[in-house]
Amino acid sequence: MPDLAVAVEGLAKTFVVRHKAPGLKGSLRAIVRPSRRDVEAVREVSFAIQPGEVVGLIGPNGAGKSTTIKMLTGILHPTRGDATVLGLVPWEDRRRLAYHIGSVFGQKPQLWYHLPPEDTFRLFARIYELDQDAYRRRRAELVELFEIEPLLDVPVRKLSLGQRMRCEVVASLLHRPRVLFLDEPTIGLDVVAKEKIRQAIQDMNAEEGTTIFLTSHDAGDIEKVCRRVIIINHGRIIFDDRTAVLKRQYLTRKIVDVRFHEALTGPLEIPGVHVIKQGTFGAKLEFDSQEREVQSVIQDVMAFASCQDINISDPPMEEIIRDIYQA
Amino acid sequence: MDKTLSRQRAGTLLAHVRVELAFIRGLVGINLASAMEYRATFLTQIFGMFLNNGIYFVFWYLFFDRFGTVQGYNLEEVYLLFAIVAMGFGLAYTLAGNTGWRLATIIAQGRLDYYLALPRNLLAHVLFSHMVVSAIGDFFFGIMAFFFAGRFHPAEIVLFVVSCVLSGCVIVGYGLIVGSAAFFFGGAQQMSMQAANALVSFALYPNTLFSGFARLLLYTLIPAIFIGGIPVDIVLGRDGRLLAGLAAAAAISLGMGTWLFYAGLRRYESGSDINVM
Amino acid sequence: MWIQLRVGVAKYGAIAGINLQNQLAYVWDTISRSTHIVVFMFIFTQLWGAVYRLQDVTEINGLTLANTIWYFLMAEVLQIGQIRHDTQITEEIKSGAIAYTLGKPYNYLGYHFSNGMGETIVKMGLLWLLGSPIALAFAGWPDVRLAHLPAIAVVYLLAIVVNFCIISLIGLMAFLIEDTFSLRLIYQKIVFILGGLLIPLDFLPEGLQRVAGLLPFQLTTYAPARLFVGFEWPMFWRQLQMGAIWLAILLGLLSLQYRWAARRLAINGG
Repeated sequence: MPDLAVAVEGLAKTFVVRHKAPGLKGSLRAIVRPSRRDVEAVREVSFAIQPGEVVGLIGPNGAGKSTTIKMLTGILHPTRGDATVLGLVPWEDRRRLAYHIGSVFGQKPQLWYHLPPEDTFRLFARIYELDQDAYRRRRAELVELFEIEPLLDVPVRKLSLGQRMRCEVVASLLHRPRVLFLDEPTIGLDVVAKEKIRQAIQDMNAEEGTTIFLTSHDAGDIEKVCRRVIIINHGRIIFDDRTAVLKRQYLTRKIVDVRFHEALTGPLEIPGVHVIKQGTFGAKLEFDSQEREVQSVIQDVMAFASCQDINISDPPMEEIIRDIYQA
Repeated sequence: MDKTLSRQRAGTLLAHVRVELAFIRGLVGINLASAMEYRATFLTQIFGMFLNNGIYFVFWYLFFDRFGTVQGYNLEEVYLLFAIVAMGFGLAYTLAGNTGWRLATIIAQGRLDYYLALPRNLLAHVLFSHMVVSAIGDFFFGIMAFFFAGRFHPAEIVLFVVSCVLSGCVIVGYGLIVGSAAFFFGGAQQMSMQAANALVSFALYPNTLFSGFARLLLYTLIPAIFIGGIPVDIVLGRDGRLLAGLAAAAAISLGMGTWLFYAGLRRYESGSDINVM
Repeated sequence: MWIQLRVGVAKYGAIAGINLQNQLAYVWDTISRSTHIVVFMFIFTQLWGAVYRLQDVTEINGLTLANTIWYFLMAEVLQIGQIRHDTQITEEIKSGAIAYTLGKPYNYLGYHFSNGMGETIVKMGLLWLLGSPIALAFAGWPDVRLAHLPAIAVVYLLAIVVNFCIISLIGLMAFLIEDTFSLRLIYQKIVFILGGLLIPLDFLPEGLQRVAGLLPFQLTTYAPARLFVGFEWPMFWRQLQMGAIWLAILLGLLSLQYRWAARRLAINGG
C-alpha cells in the first residue's frame, strides 16, 4: 500500500455528557443522581489522504469536525476504530507525531499577544528543536512567501486580523510539517486578507507538497483552495469527492438580496429565478448559476425596478449540506 | 523523517532533560519579555507587592513592640518567616506561573489542546508558560526581608536559599494538585484559588500558634507548615534532618501533583464529561 | 376570581422560584469566595488567644480576649464587604460612558451608593454568618446590649458612607491617573494599620493612637467594631463628631472633584 499521509478506518468517538434537566428540581436531582447521556460525536468515519492533497473538511457546528481533528492530532482517544497519520497512531505517539504536523486554529491564537511575531517564531524554533541556521533560512523563505517582512517586529496586538493569521500560519510551518491542520483560518477576515491566505496555502502545497487539512465554514475557502472535500454531518461522512464534483452539483446556487427604491407594485417575476421571499421594498431570490448567468440575472433584476442595494451570496453551508443529505 | 532541520533526536534521558531545560529557559525569557512590554504596569505590580507585604511588617513591628514575643517567635523570626514564604512563593509563581487556579482555568477552557499539539513535555510546557509579574515583587521582598531578619552566617544563607527553593517546589506541587482538580469537576477554579490563598495566609503566621486538629491540617491538606515554619526551623537550628524532611515534602508534593495531572489528562483524552464543542 | 387568584399566585410563585434560584446561585458563589474570613478568624483566634495567655491577663487596654475576637469579626466583615465601585467608575471614565451618567453629583453617586448598598448588605450578612460560628466557639456571645444597637448601627452606617466617599474619590481620580487600582491598594493598606484592621487601635502606642483618631480611616473600620464590643456613650459622641467633620471634608472634596471632572468632560468632550 502506498504511504498515505492520513489513513482513517472506522473511527468513532462517543462522549459521556452529564445531563441536567431544566429548573430547580432538575438542579437538585442532578446533585443526588446525575444522569449521563451518550453523545456520538463521530460515528465510524473512514477516509484516506494521499501526501500532498489539499482536503477540505466541512460540516455544520457540532457535526464532528473538531472531534475528528482532535483524534488525528492525538488530543482525543477514539472510542473505536483506527487511524494513522504519517504512519503513526496519533493518540499513542502524540509527541513524536507533533514534530511533523502543524496546526492553526482560527479561534485559538498561538502567537504571544504582547510580543512581535519574531519572538514567537524563536520560541517555536526551540519547541521543535530546529537547527539555528536552518531555522533562519526557513524563516526567511516563509517571510517572503507570506509577505510579513514589515510585521516581524510589531507587537501582535497591533496587527490586523489578516496580518496576524498570516503570521500564525508561518509559525505553524517553521518546522516543515508534512501535514498541516487549519481550522477556520479565514474567519473574520476581509476579502483581500482571505485571498492572501488562500494563495499562500496553495503556494505552500505546490512548492513543498505539504498535505493540508482545512476546516472551514466559508464555501470560498473550499472552492478556491481544496481539491477534495469531505463533508461530515451528525458524525458521519456524507460526501467525499473532488471539489469539482461538489461545485458542479451543489455550489451553483446563488442567493440574491435586493432592496428597491420604490415599493413593489406586483409580484417579482424573472425567468429562471425563484423568489424565496418578497417584501414591500425588497426581495430574496435564488437561481442556478449554471442555468442563468449571474450578469444577466442582475440585469433583469435592475430592469425590473430601480435598485438601492443588491447582494449576491452563496447559500449557507447548512443548506448545501441539507441538499446533499437529501440527495 | 526530515533530519536537515532538527538536531539528532536525542536518545538518552540526560539529553532529553537538557533539551527540556533549554526550552524552559526560553519560555521564562519570553515570559519576561512579554511582561516587560508594559514597563509601567510591570513596575507598579512589583511595587504593589512590596507595599502589600510591607504593611504586615509594620503590623508585626507594632505587635512585637507591644507584646515582645508570641509562641516562641520574635520580630526577627517573623521577618525570616516572611522572607522564606515570599521567596518561595516568588520563585514558584515567577517561573511556574501557571500552577494553581490558572491551571484549573486552562483545563476548564480547553486551552490544553494548544500544548497537546506541540512536541514538548506537556506539564513543563503548561507550567512554565506564564509568569506572574507581582511574584517578582514577592521574590525581591523576600530578599529584603532576609536582610531584616539579620541571619548572615554563610551556613544560614545557604540553608535559606535551599529552603526557599524547596518551599517553592511544595507550592508548585500544591498548585498542581488543586489545579488538576479541574479535570474532575467544575468549580475547581474557585476552589483552587481559595486553597492557594489559604496556604499563604496560614504560612505567614507562626505555626506554633496552631495545635491539634488544625496543626494536622497544616501538615496535610494545607501544607503551610512546610512552606514557612519548617524552613524557619531549618535556618535557625541549622537542622539537616529537617531539611531532608522538607526535601521529601517537596518531592511528595510535586510527585502527587504530577500524578494527579496525568491521571486527569487520561480522563480528558478519553473525553468523558467534557463539553462537546 | 378564584381562577384569577390561582393564576396570580402561580405567576408570582414562578417569579419567586426563578429569583430564588438566582439568589441561591449568587449566595453559593459568594460563600465559595468567602473562605478567607473563616481562615482569618481562625488565625486571629489562635494569635490573640496566645497573646492573652502569654501576657497572663484578662484585659489588655480595656479589651478582653472575647472582645478582641468579636472586634476582628466586625472589622473584617466591614472591610471585605465594603462597596467597591471604584473599578466601575474608573471603567466608566476610561470608556467615556461617564459622559452620559455624570449628570448631577447626587444622582450619579447616589446611584452607585444604592446599587452598592444592596449588594453590601447581602455580602456582609453572609460574611457575618460564616465568621460568627468561629467567634462564638472561641469567645462566646458578644457583650452587646440591645439598647446600644441603634447607636452602633448609626456608626456602622457612617463607616460605610465614609468608606464610600473615599472610594469614590479614588475612582474619580481616573480622570488624572491611569492606575487607580494602586491607589485603592494603598488606601486598603493604610486601613490595615490606621483603621485598626490588623490590630485594635487600643493596642497601638499613644502617639500613633492619637494620630489615627484624627484620621478618617478609623471611622471605616475601628469605630463601629470597637463600639460593638465595648460601647461607651462618650466614645459614640466623639465618633459621631469625627464622622460629621470628615463627611463634610470628604463631600466637599468630592464636589470639587466633581465640578472639575464635569468641566474636563465639557472641554474634552468625553
